[in-house]
Amino acid sequence: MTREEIKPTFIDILKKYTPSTIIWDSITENDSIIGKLNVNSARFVDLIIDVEDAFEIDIDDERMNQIITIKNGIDMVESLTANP
Amino acid sequence: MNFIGNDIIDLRHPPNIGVEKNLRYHQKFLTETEQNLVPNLSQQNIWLLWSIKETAYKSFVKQGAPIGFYPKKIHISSLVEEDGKHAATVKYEDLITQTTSVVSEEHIHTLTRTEPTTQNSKIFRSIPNEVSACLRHELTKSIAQELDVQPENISISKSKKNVPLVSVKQSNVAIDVSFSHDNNWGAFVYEINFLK
Repeated sequence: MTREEIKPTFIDILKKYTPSTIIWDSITENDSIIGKLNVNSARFVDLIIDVEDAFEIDIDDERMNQIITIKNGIDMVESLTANP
Repeated sequence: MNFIGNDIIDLRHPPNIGVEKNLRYHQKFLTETEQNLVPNLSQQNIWLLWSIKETAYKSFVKQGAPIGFYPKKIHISSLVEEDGKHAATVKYEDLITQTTSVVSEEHIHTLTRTEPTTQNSKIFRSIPNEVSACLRHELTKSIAQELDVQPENISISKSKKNVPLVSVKQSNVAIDVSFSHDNNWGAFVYEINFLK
């Protein structure tokens, strides 16, 4: 899958777990999911599971540890859908 | 400095219910060894282990650990229950911290274990959309009372590592603080270091 195909679905999943106060127009791909987007870390696990289900991939512990920003997440999905 | 951390879990928050039935969920953050530290993987026990790790993570970040999500690198090496409190030892690489958790039917609150006389902590209930604002209000009010200043002179921000910082009259002060909220519940703990 391409980044253009992945990004809307990834952002839709992310929006389920971000507070309603987040102003998305000011968010960039380099913003951190837990820090800037204020996703509760307990919900971060839900996010990972939703992303796994949506893209039919398995994000192992080592890869999960590397997802800090939105860009990291999209890159991870891109990599895993290209080389599952 | 004690590198304080704390975490509160609302056990009645709908996303926190049913976690015991979701094997994928707890396998994302618990090792097999940690799963054996509790008699069973009930909802309460899973969130107890989570809360311990989250509290320790906040302390470790203050001690130089990176920000991020790496729960299986944070190891709970022991967990014992005494007098209704759950005392744990937690390690990350060469860092170590002790935590104490109190479990009720409604929530779990975990604190890093330090000298109790130097800490101020509070748990409170609010409504979900207001708990974050309420938390800042309660924390500001409490620190203002301790420092004998007006609450409007105190501001709370976060560092690039997401560590809370307290300013009094626009100057950073030596207050080690941690706050947490989940749905209906908020909690904070702080220590004013120069009062030691």
